[in-house]
Amino acid sequence: MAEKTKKSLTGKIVVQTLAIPLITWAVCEIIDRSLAGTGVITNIADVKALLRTLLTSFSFALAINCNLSSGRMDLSAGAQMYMGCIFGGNIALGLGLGGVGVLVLSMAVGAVCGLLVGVLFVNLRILPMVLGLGVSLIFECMSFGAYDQQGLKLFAKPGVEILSNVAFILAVAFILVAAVTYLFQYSSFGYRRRAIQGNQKLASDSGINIYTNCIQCYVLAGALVACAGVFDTAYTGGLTPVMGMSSNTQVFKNMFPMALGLLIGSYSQKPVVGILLGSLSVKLLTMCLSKLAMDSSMQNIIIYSLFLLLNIYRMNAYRFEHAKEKRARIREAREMKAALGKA
Amino acid sequence: MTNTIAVKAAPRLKLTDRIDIIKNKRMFSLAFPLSILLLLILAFGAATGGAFFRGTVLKGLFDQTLIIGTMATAVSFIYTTGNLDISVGSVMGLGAVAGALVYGATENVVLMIGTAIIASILLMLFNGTLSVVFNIKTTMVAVVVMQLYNAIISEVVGADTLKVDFQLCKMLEDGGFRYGAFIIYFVVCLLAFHFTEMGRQLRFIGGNKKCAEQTGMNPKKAICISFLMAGIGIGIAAVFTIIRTGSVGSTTGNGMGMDVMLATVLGGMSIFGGAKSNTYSGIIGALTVSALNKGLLMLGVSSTVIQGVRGVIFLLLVFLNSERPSTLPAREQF
Repeated sequence: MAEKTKKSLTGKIVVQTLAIPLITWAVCEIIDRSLAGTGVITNIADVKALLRTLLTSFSFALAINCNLSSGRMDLSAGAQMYMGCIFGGNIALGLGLGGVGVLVLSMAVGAVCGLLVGVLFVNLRILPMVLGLGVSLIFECMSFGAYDQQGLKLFAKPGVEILSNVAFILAVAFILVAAVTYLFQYSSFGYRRRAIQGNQKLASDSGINIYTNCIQCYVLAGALVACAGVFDTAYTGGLTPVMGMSSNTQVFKNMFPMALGLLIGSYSQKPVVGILLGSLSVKLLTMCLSKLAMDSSMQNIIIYSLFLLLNIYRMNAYRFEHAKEKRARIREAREMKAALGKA
Repeated sequence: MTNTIAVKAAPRLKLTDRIDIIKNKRMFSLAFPLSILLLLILAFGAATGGAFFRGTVLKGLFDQTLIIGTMATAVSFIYTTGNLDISVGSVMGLGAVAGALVYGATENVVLMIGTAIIASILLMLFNGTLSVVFNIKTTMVAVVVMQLYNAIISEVVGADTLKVDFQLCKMLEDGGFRYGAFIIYFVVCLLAFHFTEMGRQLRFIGGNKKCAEQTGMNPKKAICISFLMAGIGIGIAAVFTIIRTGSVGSTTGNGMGMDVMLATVLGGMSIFGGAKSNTYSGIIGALTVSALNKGLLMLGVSSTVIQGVRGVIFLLLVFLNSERPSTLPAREQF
């Protein structure tokens, strides 16, 4: 009996977890087939495009989640991505290390940038958003001034084709899911991180080093944003450096996949898988709108309107729960009244 | 005799404690950023051999400050309540688009000004409603609506620009309209913020929302008022933007929310809101940023390096001007 209940519970969780991406795909498929006469994913090129953009979005959303769930909105994540890719990528290309080298070195430089921001944050104790603004200004200046303001060019560079290889993309996605799931959910780092998320002061009083954990979060986020940047650069062919805090756009752009991912992940208590599915849902939606030949601004209006609705739902879900409980209580009272009346 | 013993027995204060006492003085938030601004102006004046003090340079400095300064003054009402809004640049952009569209249809300047201000107020009230009625954190509201408003601007304007009669813009620019509007708005804000019950309520709510609620204040109403006051200022900044360039494009207002936040914090405003908040930080911060940009440019420093220097000085000033909490500062955003 207990096993049967457990199985039905697991089944319910699986259905809840997969519901949003599946519904998104089904709705998109219906819309595209009826309006554009084609499906969302019809050929291998679509699959490739989906996977490449999915990995970028997933990696960046994971990075935002590293700090945001602890109340730290790191606006410098975009600038860290530029630093990691431009310095790490160009050094790797200079050394002839190929695509894997570009990825590894970019992630290493990204992690160093994250370490720097983390150490600054722990020592200066300025509000993360404000610190992020200042650091963005500095990192953008450095990445813009380096390499003759050329950024990182991967187009037609020898050995970087692997970054567009479907098997490699899938392997990296798998490694990211496995590694970050382990770090967030099964390691002592993840345990401390969750304790700090619950209550920073209590965690500190119970002996957890909140400062070290915070720096570790920043380092991980730095490496992840650089990973996202490398695959994005491989997709577009080049990464042009930006100024005037424009790098923040990257952070804002990937908020929706992260938020949707956290909602999906909340059913199974697996935030990493949730963020992957959240990113997949948003990318499917983007592909669906592109197939309708919609321009990017109209796509953004639809996507961010949905993000707004998601936020409204998330912050008011308790009201629906209250209404549901109230209805159940009224029903119970009516049944009892009817039973008493019969007696 | 007893007093002498008591004084001798009292422990000597550490240097950090003394600094904290000075930083906690009420006037410190005004004196410190103002001193930095004056120091910068004097340093650039000396480094440029007095060229920095020329009338045209100083006028240019003030002109550059006007838009950011007005917006920073406006958002101080929101920051005071402990909320943040980085979407103000996009709101200003959309307000300017609405104004320019109305001008294109009617060629009536009064309608243009009115539309820009009313559109900005409505957009800010929409942001406030999302926060107050639907309980979404203001930062998250700002992140979403910023993208949404930018997309709407791009959709409406497209690749073109909305033009407003150049002669009219020139007339409004030279006729002192901007200075007059800014001074009136600034004085109204100063009075409303520092000398009215509403201002005191906003500061109290920013300092301790729960305590304010238990005292009988209505934080939701206060937050709506703060967004309304901000909307007026942002609308005025939208009019200034139209006048300054005579056109509105798809990138109008992009990234300005960040510039406004930068100026506000640099001017000594506490990002946590509360009793130490004020309305003049924004204009001081905006003047500091403009002086730094102009001075370094006059010294031949490249714009790329200027941004880096701005970042370093920003972090340094914020660090010196803010209190160091015992644990890591965090704010629930999501």
